[in-house]
Amino acid sequence: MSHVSAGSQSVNDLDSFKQACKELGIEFKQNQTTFAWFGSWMKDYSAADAAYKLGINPGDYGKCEHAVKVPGSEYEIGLMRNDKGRLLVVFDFWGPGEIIKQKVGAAACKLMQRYGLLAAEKEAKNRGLTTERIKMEGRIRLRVTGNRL
Amino acid sequence: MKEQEKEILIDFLDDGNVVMEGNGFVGKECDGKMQPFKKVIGLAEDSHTRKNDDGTLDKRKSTLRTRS
Repeated sequence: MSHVSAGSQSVNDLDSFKQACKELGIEFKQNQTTFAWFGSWMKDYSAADAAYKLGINPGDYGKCEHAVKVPGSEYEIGLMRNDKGRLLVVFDFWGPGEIIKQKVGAAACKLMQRYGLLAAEKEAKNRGLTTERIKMEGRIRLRVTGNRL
Repeated sequence: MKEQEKEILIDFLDDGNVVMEGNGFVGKECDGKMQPFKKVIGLAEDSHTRKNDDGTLDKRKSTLRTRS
C-alpha cells in the first residue's frame, strides 16, 4: 500500500529542523535524494493530508532533497518540494511506515510542532526578542515579547 | 493609562495546527511583526487555522488576531 502523507507546514530553516529531529531521536540525512517507501503509487490514499493533495507529484514519490531515518522502520521520511516550491515533510505511513507515524505523529505533526517552536525561538532571538514556552492543554504556547516588537 | 505590552502568542497545537495572535499592536503593525514568524514556521498562506472570537477554530488552519 502507498499511503503517502505530508504535513502542511513547510521547512524554511534546516538547522531548526535538524535540531527537532535530534530531539525526537531520529536521524536527519542531509542531501540524501531518495527516501524509502512502498515504492509504487497505488492510488489508494486520498485523505486531506495525502501528499499529492498538497502539491506533491506522485510520480516523484521517493525522491527528495533531504531525508530522515527513523530507527526501527525500513521506510524513511523525505523532504520534498511541492508545486509552489515549499519544502514539505512526506512519508508513507502504511506497514513499516507505522513506526514513523508513531514517532513523528500523523502528517508529522509532532515533528513540525517541535520544528516550529525551535524556528520561532531562533527567529525571535535573531531579532533581539524574548521568548517563553508555556505548556498548555493540547498545545505549547510561545510568548514573544521585547522592546523591539 | 498604561500602554499594553506588545506580544505575539504562537500556539503550536498537538494536532499540528498553529494559531497566532498579536496583542497591543496598532492597526496593521501586527501583520508585519508576525510575518517573519509565519514564514520561518512554514505556514502556508492558504492553510492557517483561524481563531474565532468565541475561541473556536475555523476549518482553515491558523489565525492572525490583533488587539490594539
